[in-house]
Amino acid sequence: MASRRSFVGLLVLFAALAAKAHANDPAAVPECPTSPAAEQPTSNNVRLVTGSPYSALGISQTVTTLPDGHRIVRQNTIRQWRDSEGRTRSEFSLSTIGGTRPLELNTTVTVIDDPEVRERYLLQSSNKVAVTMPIVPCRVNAGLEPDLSVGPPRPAGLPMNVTAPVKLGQRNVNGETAAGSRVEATIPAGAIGNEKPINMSAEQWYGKNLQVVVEATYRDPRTGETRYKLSNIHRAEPDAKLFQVPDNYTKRPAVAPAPKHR
Amino acid sequence: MTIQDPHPHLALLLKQYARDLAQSAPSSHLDARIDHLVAGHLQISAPVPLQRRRRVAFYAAAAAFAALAIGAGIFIGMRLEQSRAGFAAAQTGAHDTLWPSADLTMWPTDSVLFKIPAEYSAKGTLVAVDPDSKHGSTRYWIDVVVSNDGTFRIEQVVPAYSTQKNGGHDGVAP
Repeated sequence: MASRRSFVGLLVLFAALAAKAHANDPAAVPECPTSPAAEQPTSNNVRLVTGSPYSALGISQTVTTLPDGHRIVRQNTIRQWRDSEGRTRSEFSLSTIGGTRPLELNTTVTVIDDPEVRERYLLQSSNKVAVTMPIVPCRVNAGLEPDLSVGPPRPAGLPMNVTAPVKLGQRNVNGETAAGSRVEATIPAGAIGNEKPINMSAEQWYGKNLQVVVEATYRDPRTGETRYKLSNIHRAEPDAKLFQVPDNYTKRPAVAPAPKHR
Repeated sequence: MTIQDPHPHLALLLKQYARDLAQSAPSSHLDARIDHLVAGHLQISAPVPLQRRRRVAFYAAAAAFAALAIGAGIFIGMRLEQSRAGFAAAQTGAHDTLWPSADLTMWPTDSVLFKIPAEYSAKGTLVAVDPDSKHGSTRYWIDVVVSNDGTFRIEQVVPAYSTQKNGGHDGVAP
């Protein structure tokens, strides 16, 4: 009788394992959409890159030159970590975010993405709260760089003509083989009261091994030129504690905003 | 009831039957035929031992249950997958007004969207403030997108009172 019970127990266990195995099967992680035109974007989509740990420092510097010749220089940094399992930690040290209305932040935001549990943790150091939100891991073809198909950031609804991405070949960036792409975009004359077309461009160099952007240049005459570069790249496995919510933090689910009435 | 004096005709028939019965003898092959028939019947439908029959029935039921359980396991796994995707889709639906596809610089990218409370300073610039502090002036929620491709941008600026009416926020305090 005991053997029959254990046999049935094994069957139940096998069924549970079958369910879990399907949910965690790498093949069950869908491929990332290749372009926003192909699929509605999901802000929950998180690229899953496994087996390629690293840590690095990204520096983004925006220089705006005023008509009288004055220059405004703003700098933001991103410290990045990724472990072999694909978990990531990003610490965004934000001073000012440019735009038609610049935002002075002077704060650091820490974000941990854990694809295994499909959660994103946004750490709020001021009140020791980790805001949690669901994420959907997706995989990208390691041999392909992302499709740079949309162009520089712009307000929604602004008419803009965007060229097809131009391949710039490959070059070495800080020891990383990177593939370059470039798109150009134009706001037609008169769209925002401009007498002449406004030309913008975005150029990105994508590390084929790291599978992250290692260098980028964005030019927009309205806000200036932004240069981004990834440096201090280390391939060692980061400390596992970096990807855990500190014990003294309270987890709280994010409050989804109510849909707007249209 | 006994018959003392049967009818003469009946008495005659009884005497003849008694005589025939006394003269009859069993066939010499009868026992062999009966033995053969009984042996053949045993060979055709020999009863399976009860214990063996139970064991076969148990394993048949177990195999059917295993197939059912595996199917249920895969089904549950698929439903889990779909429910996650569905929840994500629901979340996306709530966010789509904050994340129009036309505003992405690269796809896919590693971006984070969060809200920051801010007020205008005396210099006329938007400055992030503590969400728990008292309002010095009109407060706004700034939707900010920061990405690992070096892009930082303000997605939209919404007066705080309308955000409160629309279901709260997850602000990041400076």
